[in-house]
Amino acid sequence: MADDTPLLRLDKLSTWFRTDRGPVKAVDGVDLEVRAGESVGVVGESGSGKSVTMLSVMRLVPSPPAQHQGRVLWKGEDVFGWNARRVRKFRGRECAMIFQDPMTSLNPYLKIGLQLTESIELHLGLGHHAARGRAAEMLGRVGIAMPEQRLDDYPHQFSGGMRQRVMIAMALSCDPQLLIADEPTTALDVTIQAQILELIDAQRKAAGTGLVLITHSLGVVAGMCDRTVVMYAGRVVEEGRTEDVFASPRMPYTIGLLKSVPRLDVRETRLVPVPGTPPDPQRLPSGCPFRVRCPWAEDRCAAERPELREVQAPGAARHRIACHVDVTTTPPRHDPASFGKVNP
Amino acid sequence: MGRYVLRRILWMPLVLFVLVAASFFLIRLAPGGPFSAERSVSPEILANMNAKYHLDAPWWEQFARYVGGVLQGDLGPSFKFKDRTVNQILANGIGPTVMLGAIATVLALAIGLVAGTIGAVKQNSVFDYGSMSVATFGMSVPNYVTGPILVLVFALTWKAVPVSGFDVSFALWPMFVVAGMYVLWRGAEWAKSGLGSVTFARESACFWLLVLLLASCAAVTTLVGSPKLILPSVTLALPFASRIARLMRAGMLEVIGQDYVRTARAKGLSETTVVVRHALKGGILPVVSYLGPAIAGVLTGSLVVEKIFNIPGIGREFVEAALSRDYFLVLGIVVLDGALLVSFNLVVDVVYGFLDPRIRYD
Repeated sequence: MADDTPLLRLDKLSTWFRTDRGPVKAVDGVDLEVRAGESVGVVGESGSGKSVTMLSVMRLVPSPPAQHQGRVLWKGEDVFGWNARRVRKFRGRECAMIFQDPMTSLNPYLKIGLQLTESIELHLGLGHHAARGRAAEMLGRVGIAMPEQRLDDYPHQFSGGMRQRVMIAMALSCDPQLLIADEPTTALDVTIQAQILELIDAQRKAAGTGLVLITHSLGVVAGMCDRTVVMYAGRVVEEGRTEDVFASPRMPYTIGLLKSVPRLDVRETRLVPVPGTPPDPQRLPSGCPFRVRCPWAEDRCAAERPELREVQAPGAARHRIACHVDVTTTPPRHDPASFGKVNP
Repeated sequence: MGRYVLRRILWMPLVLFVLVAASFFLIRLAPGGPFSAERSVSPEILANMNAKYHLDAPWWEQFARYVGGVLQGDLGPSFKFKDRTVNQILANGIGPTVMLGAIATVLALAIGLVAGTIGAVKQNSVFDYGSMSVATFGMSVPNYVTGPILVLVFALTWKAVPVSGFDVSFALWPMFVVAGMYVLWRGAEWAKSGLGSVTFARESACFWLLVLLLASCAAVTTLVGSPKLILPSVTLALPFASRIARLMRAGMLEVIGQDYVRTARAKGLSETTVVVRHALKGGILPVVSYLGPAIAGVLTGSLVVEKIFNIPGIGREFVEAALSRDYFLVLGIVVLDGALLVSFNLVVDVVYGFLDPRIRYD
């Protein structure tokens, strides 16, 4: 693999579902890159298409009813062109996924041992005993005590946090090159969340695994990800190094998101929500989908859809936004009180 | 688990006692008596006969005598067949009834599970719509209609199978051939990775599927060897196969939409493994809970089917006994069917516990 070929590249990926009320575009022309060993955070409101994007990468969105356009390139190979056998090798072996809800993502009728060993036997070609050994080793690595005995337990004998640890062990058991974590802590107790995130981070760093972390928590992204991708209405609206996106957000939506999160270092008690509600994917506004909630919106935003464009970032790092307006020089035009002051 | 089974077994006599008591008094509420049908019996003879069978005794004495007899394993005399006891009649009839019931149950399970699973995996396909239409038909049309229609089409018009009657010839060797082929197929793997992988297979639904496959082999070869049984077993099995297919389809559809099936796919497992190992165990649970009522249905269904196809089982005896007020024979069959049903319900509950580890017996 040439050094400059990204591990995963999404090239104008669109995914839409046929429904009774017409097609619904859940993912709309997403461009994204993940390099080997890199961690990328994908942030956005519920329904912004983060999960569907990543499920499309795994080809786990059932199609039909879903349809795809654009390309998903795994080390330059088009994932949508693969046959079923190649896809199965990709899933689990090259790219593994951790799902949101560990309470429902493990099969309640099968022992943990079987659920762990089946992919090890399949992908690493180990015999039953060796696979069990590997499974126990993985369980121990994610911090489960007495792993050999726990292999014979069923999921309901584990707590939520422990089940997510099992999921992590399962995902990492075949040494994938990329780990996709779809809101891995959303369903967990707050006290457990940090532990699980640290575990994912430590494990993937030790193995040099790339990470795509889907989340709606900005704090998590700030702590864990090299790069941040902000999604809105199925599109990427801002993308750059995490420090750039957080220090100088350039897309009004990102600015709104950051304003709506409590900060410990600022003595301001009022949180400012992003006004309005996420748009109905069947009736997206023309042009920029965020313009109806955007304080900077001007006539051009309704007429023309903003494409991702490069903006200046410190150290010549890549920072891209999908916005017509330069928020660093233009003051907001509408109702700035409800949106808060422009940063900085 | 052991304690639970023991407790259920200890409850059985009480359940059966209530059943016997209810039937004992209910059948006596029916007009007429065992000797009403016999023509011109003089009052003296009638009184003598009643006295012989203690039918002139007060009801509580009759009941006590009957229960006492049952406790000693004596189900009493038959009024109609005066040369035989109820025990002898049941001993003769149980073979054909159990044979027919077992074949019908295995057929219903095999056809229903396979059709339901394929229907769910290939939802909205031609197969799905076709099989569900047949299933709706099979569930709605009673067996006293399907039986004669099948006879008319396959036995009288097409002459492919005999009309009625009963004789059995077992041919179980294909079952062993299939079992042997399975061992040859998996044996290499077992030898390589140790017996651990055998329990591995057992934990998923594969083991139970193999058991069902072997049972189906036995059922089909027996039917091939004894064509007289084909129409009655199909008639008896049809409503249950239909019901099982619908339950299985609904159960599988529910499970296939679950997160853990997506997890299984995300691991790179083949679609067959996903369905057989991950989806089947959860999807089959509604069918397992239906099996208790289904066994009851097979027993009552065989009353009609045995009558239609002239099979010398206890079902046919039951209908005739009820019509001729053969009190003890009716009660005997009720006790036997009741005991079968109660035992099968226990077996079903235990199997359910094997399938769903979250079930606790306490």
